[in-house]
Amino acid sequence: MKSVEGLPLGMVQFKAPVLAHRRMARDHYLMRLSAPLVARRALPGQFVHVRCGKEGSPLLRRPFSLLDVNPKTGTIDFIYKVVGVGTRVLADVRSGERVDLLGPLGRPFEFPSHLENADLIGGGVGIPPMVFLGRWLRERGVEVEAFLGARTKEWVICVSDFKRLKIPVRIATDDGTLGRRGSVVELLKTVIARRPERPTKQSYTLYICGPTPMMRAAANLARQRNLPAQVSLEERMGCAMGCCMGCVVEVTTEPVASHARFQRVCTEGPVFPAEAICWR
Amino acid sequence: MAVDLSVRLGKLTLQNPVMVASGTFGYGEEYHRLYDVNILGAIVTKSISLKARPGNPAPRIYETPSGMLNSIGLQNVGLEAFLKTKLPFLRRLKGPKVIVNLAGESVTEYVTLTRRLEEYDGIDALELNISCPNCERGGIEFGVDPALTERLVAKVRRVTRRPVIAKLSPNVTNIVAIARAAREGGADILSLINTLLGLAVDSKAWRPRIATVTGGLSGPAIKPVALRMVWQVHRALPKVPLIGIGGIMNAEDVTEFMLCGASAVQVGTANYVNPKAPVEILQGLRRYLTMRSLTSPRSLVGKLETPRHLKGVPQVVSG
Repeated sequence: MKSVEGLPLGMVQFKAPVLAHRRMARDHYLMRLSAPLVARRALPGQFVHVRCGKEGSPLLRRPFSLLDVNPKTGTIDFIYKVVGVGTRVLADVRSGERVDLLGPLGRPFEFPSHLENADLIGGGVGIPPMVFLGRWLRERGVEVEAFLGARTKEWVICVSDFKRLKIPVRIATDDGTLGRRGSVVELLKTVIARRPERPTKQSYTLYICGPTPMMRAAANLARQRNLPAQVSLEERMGCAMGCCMGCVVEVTTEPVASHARFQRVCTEGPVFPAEAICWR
Repeated sequence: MAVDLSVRLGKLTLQNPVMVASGTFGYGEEYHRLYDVNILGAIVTKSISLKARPGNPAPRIYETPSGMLNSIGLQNVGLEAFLKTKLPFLRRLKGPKVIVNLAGESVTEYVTLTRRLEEYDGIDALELNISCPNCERGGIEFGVDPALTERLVAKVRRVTRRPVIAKLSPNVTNIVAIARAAREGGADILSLINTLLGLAVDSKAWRPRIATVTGGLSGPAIKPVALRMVWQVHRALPKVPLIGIGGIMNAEDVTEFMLCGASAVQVGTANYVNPKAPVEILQGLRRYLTMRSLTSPRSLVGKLETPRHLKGVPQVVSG
């Protein structure tokens, strides 16, 4: 596999104007920033590192993966869920204000040179990066299906984005309020089993982003079925530039040397081959 | 009068007092993609160990009020890979001094590291990490024991002509005793403080927030402790050049450390919050001095005005 345009292009840091900021579901917000350079350079799977508080609280930035970018209008969008101090403070930012932005960061999704079919599986706030990826793949003629999972109906986000991209969507919710009741990985498993043709390694990839149990289950499914799969991980981050070594994930030591068993989610990731991850 | 930001720490002259702290700046290249790191006074590398180290399990960091807790475990590429892949970039830099931070598990390892570095040009000083709180062996073991500190520094001192900086741990009862010991061993410069040992708890899960349970606390939360220790050491050893470290976020923080006796500073956690913090700090420092008609940051060093009854009020140390 190779990255389409090589490693990430240059990141920038500046105070980006907030063009829109709205609540889209309970605890979920969409923020649109004017960031022309980021919009032009970002690739699917990359993220931005945002300073949520103005004066030291919270101290550290928070990483958010991109929902999509628009190089023509110079805008970038991301969706976040309020889970702690950082996101709570960010939710109070109003349109017209500026937020300190660093990005684009991280290694983007990769795809095999002869990709024809792809499944996107997203859980919760792992759904948005699949929209950016889905658009990219569609624009390159890849057949895409999306599998979305969430705790409940209200948190199944971005469905309209996939519809707009003409990507078929299948849904599972934990409480059964929308789509199939239960795990989205089970749903994917059923659908894959029903398909007449087994995809080849060169022509297919499963892309995964979501909560750890979901990613682990999806990675297992891919392994059992011998399907290439990539996961986009989330981890608490310090610098997000590869310096603090704070955001590591343990990877299988082969073929890498044992001293490289902890890799940085911000730099070697956030996208990894699914089989490389030691799930904890 | 134009402001001249240069400072002297014994034999080591820096173009300005703003350095970046070990472990927060990699080996310089990463931040060079955002701004010209040639403006810095010095770059202190991430700790180098003899062999590559995998570091500690995740999670490794957690944010706490006005600070962060980390337990990285000195993950680094090891000495030989550093020499081959990291040092060439640092040597090409024109502005900043290059300070290599060393972490050993034994006195012998520190000596071996030092000797090997002697074969290379473009290194201006060594900083001995005798204060990492997150390693089972080495690190803090040395930094909390005056006799060990003195012995280690003396051994390293004997095999290099480069300025030796001892980086002190705050996790001691008497910082002055450790400072004296490092000085007795022959340290040219002292840098302080490393992180404070701390613990953060997830009370929902009844678990520690980071995998190794305890970690090192950094950021604005520790600044008062750092200032106090710099001031104490400066009072006791007024002739020893000090590098102040601990929660420096802006130029005002730098001036506070200098007033307490630091001749230079290291910016650490601030690099994560605002990657261009050192750039803004330098601008701010220049402005601070200009506003007060001062021509050099040296005129701040140790000038904290303290009540007369305090014995050993810092003597004036000329830069």
